Formats: sequence, C-alpha cells, structure tokens
Amino acid sequence: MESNDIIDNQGPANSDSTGFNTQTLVSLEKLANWLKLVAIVTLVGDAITFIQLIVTKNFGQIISIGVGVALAVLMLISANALKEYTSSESAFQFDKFARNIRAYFMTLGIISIIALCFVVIVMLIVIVMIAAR
Amino acid sequence: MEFSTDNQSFAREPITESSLDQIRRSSGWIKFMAVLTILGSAIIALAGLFLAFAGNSNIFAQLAEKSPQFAYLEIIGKLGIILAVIILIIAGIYFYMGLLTHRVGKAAALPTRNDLNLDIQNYANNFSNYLIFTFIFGILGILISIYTTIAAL
Repeated sequence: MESNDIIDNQGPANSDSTGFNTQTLVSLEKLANWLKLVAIVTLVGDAITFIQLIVTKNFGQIISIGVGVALAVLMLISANALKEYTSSESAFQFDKFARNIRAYFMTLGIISIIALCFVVIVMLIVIVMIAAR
Repeated sequence: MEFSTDNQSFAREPITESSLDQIRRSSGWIKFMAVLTILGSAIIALAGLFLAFAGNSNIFAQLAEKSPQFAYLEIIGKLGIILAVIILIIAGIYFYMGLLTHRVGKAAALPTRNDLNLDIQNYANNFSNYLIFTFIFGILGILISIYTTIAAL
C-alpha cells in the first residue's frame, strides 16, 4: 500500500463514509481533552519548579524544566489537532496529531535513555570510588 | 493525495495510511517506556523490601551508632516497616502505570488492521486511561512542589 493511500475506515455502525464512526470520534475527543489537561498540569508543574529554582538558586533542574515544557507543547499541539479533527474531520489535522504524538513518545524515550545512561555512569563512579577506598 | 498546509482541502476527507503509520511507529517507543516503568517499579519494590529487612534487623541503628553523620538512619530504621509498606504501595501503582503504558503501546500498533474504528477506539481509550493516571500523578507532583517551595522560603 502506498504511504498516502486513502484508508477505507467505514465502521460497521453509525458509519460515516468520510471518516470514523461516532463512537470513535467520542473516544478521540475524550483523548484530546485528557491530553490538554495533562499538558496544562505539566506546564503548571514546570512553572512552580521554575519559581522554586529561583527561590533556591539551584539551577540544576533547568534542563528538566526545558524538557517538560517541550513535551507539554507537543501534547498541546496534538490535543488541539485532535480536537480540530473531531469537529472538522480534516485528514490534515489527524496527520498533525499522529506526527506530534509520535514526536512526544520519541522525545520521552530518548530522554529516558539519556537519563538511564546518566544513572548507570553515576552508579559506576560510586562503585569505583567505594572500591578504591 | 498530497498533503498541503491548506486545512480546508482536507476537510471531511478520509485519513491516509501515512497518518496511521505515524501511530504504528510510536508503538515501539511506548512499549520501551512501559518496560522502563515496569523495571523502575521492580527496583522500587526491591528498595522497599530491603528497607523492611534492614529496619527489622537493626542494621540502620548500628550504622547510625558507628557514623554520627548518618544519625537520621536510626529514625528510618525505626520507621522501617511503615516506610517499606508505603514504598511497596508506590511500586504497585508504578507497576500498574507500566501495564497501562504497555496496553497503549499494543493498541498503537493498530493490531486488527481490518477494523480501523475498533483499533482507534482501543488506542484512544487506553491512552485516555494512561493520561488519567498521569494527570493524578501530575497534581500530586504540583502539591509536593508547592509544599517544598513554601518550605524553602
């Protein structure tokens, strides 16, 4: 199948010839709402951490705030695109949602790999230091 | 069909295979996150079990006696079982979160392929459940952040 081929997604019930059935659209709308809520909570959390960072003058968390904001932005874009899709059934919006949600999980995965490597390096350094004593 | 930035030209048009492919390709990353979360929950559970064992066997009290700078270890040792239970509960919640993530990953692979409505519904519902948990943890994180910020002032 060509990558841009049109998908025959006619459902068995309440089917709409140009898109998903009503039940699927309701599920997608619910998903859009939760995506937006989680994105807002992430942004609020990052804002509070930023205030904490200024108060304590400990700038070690600046990278984690940056990553949090980037993930929240990706989630917000996905949520808006999905919301738009459920109201207009525009294929462009669904594609925008799919691309951004993939970018979100990919960023999360890459950050986790980096964090994991960092933890392993720190643990190795600690073990070497203990062994050298 | 070519994509363009003109939203109107796509209004009420069927979605394309490339859009679905983006969702399928995210499946691997989601499953990877699920594995990491489940591994994390196992490490937390091990820490909880260690605490329960160490608290019971007086190791912390001995350590605190030998090194005055670790005096707080005696308190941790006394609270051992209570702390261990709390840590094990957290590990359980974390494990459930990992299972939810795994379900999202499985659904993102759009497994049935012939019934796209069912696949997308499954994906959206599992993803929503995962986000509900993330939202609850986010709110808890905000409350802890507010508390620590006020404490730092």
